[in-house]
Amino acid sequence: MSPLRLVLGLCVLGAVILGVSLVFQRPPAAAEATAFTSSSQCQACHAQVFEEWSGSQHSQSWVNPAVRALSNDFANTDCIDCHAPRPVFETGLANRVLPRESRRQEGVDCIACHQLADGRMAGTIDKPEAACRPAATRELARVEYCAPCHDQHGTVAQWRETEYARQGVGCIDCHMPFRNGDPNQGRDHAMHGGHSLEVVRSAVTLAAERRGDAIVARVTNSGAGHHFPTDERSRAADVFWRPLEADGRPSGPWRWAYRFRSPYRHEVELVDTLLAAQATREIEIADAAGRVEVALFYKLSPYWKDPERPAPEAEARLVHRVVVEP
Amino acid sequence: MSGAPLASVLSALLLGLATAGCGTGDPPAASEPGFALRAVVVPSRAAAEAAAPRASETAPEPADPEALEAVLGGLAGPDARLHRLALADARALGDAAVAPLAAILRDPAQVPARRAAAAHALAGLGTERALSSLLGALESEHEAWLRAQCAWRISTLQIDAAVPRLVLRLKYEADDMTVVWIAESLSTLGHLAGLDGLRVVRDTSGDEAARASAGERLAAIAAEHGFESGDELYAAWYAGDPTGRIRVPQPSPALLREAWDWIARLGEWDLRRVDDARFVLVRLEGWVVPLLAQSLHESDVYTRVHAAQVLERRGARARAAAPELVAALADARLGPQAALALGAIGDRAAAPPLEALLVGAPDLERRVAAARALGRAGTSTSIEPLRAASGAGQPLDLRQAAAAALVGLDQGDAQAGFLLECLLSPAADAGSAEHALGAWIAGRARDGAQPWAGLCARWRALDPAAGSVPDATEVAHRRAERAALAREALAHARR
Repeated sequence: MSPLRLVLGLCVLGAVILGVSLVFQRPPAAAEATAFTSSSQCQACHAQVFEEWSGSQHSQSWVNPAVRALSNDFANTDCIDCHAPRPVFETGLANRVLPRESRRQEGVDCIACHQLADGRMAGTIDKPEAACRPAATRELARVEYCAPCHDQHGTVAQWRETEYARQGVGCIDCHMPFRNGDPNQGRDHAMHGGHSLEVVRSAVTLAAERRGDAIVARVTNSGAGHHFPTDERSRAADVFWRPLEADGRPSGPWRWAYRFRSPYRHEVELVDTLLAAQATREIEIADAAGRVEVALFYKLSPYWKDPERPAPEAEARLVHRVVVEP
Repeated sequence: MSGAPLASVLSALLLGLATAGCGTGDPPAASEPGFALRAVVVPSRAAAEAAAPRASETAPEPADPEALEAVLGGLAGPDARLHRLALADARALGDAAVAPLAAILRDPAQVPARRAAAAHALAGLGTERALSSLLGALESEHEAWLRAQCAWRISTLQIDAAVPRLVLRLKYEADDMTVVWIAESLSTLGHLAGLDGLRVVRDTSGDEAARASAGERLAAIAAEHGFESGDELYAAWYAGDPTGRIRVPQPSPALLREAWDWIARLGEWDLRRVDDARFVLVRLEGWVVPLLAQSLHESDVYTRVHAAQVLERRGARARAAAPELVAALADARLGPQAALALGAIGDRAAAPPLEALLVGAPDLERRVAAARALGRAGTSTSIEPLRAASGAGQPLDLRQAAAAALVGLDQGDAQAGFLLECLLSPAADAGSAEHALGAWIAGRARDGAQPWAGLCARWRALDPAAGSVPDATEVAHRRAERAALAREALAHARR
């Protein structure tokens, strides 16, 4: 036998042995079930996700001072269901969550979103040998997963009426984008929404034009997959205007023109003015001669300190502004 | 645990055996042996509806317009005899008059006197359909005078099926005179849910006439029940009428049917509708408690958990449900809420099963809830298991809940140091720790002795202004100041 044939034969034999050993290799042993009592247990393996979540509103849902004040320090116990929920998968997709008694200070935490009814963790891959025993769970990407809390104010129902729903663009496509646009880097768990001015700015556009002495402002819900604003009745967006000097300095105070908001039920004198996805609303501002600035402000709480003299720059966030020439 | 009473230990063992098979690392199973679940609401609603069939959904043909005009004409003037005749004519028209009268009532183009006459005529019809029409206007008309008119007219109908919707209106009504008339209507139907609203209007209304009316109604209702004052009656009602002095009529079959409708709402998706149902069911009279106790067995988890929340909010007015709530402690999903309800009821007889739950429940949720409940319903036997639960080595949530509960049992001196740590630790529930420390100082200041009274006043002075929404910096500043106060208090406690 030539040396070449011997080497080739040994290579083939080696490949066969390797293949057989791979085929008959025992799967890795499943990890022991771990009792997860805090999201901090996730930090060691999922540092980036934990950091993103820690800066998110989900992590603040129990401790946020505004939430505590508006819920009467959670004496309004109805708020606990969504601000300290038991796992979504415990009651099932599209079903409401139940309130929990423990680790409330962690708010809407890793366990609330990822713990499955059998104690494993919902993830994107099956990895039974990992400490949290992740199980590939496609439901994590469905809107029904967010609905238990976020459809309480109709956001998912609003989304169903949009073109986004027909195209299959769901909640996480906008609110949990892939990091750096790369699916291999996983999704951002900061989950930006109404607290992010960047997100709010991307949701709407503002334009204005002169019609005689009047101005017509046009607000278009160009980027949100639901009404603007949405989710919380405490949210509001207001259109203001003020006269400007020729050099651009304001020559008068801000004047209120219009509000986008869904009122509380006791506010029977108000009507729902939310702006549906892709819809445009024209707001006529009379007697606005000269150079004028029109602006859209966003508020996380609907009330002004002095309703007679709202101070949008101090109490709201500037989303967009346009200047209309005489 | 070594110091726990024998009964608690035995109860814990039994509970442990009943729930064996639940691994501590796994979430609790949906239901466990020992507490039977079944369909409760659907068959109960069906039975209630059979006993009191609803009015047909098909509206009858509208009444003859001329006959209707005659009725309205008779009611427009001040002549009482003409009123009686017109109302007799209205009754003869029956439900055929409801739709046209409702249209006039709710038409803003009609003059107020004519709309008021339509409300009067609807009340005169005396049917459930007419009642529903008046309630609809009360719930949604923008003009306050018209809502007040409807509330007043409903009081003359004497149909107790109106009670739940009248109660709910109290949650949303912004007009003080309308609140007074809703309370009056409820009172004439034997329900005292309007007392709270009357007290608020009497004490805070900017409308002098409404303040006076509320005060007069409170006094009159109190006298009807043999109480010296409205406040005394309210206190007795709120405490579950411990002396049995309040007369409550039995509900009609129609009101029972309505009550089951509201219980069914507890299982709905929309939390605002659920909260409306909780609001109503909390304020109905004591006859509703057995219905809620039955609902604890409902197989729909939302219905049974929310029924327990209703019982919790009723507090002492849910005492009759205590045995069923004790049994419900065995249900993993219902158990935490059942424990909290027992705590709110405050029945000391519930302490042993709650202690057993604290020691032996297989899941943290029930142990934490049991600790919180024992802070309100605990006895001297609860102190030792709570101390054990607050000790190092236990989960932080349990330690904190047990420490706060011990404050509720006047054992705060030994817990204040740990609660102060919780106030400052990002891992703990700082808001709850702040409450517990405030309760500890307030408890020590109960007899007005210094330095505790002074410390308590300084603590309360740091409360945010009513209606204000503090930001994170303000909250951090307040907690830092309160931490300093708590350290000062601790130093006094250790002397």
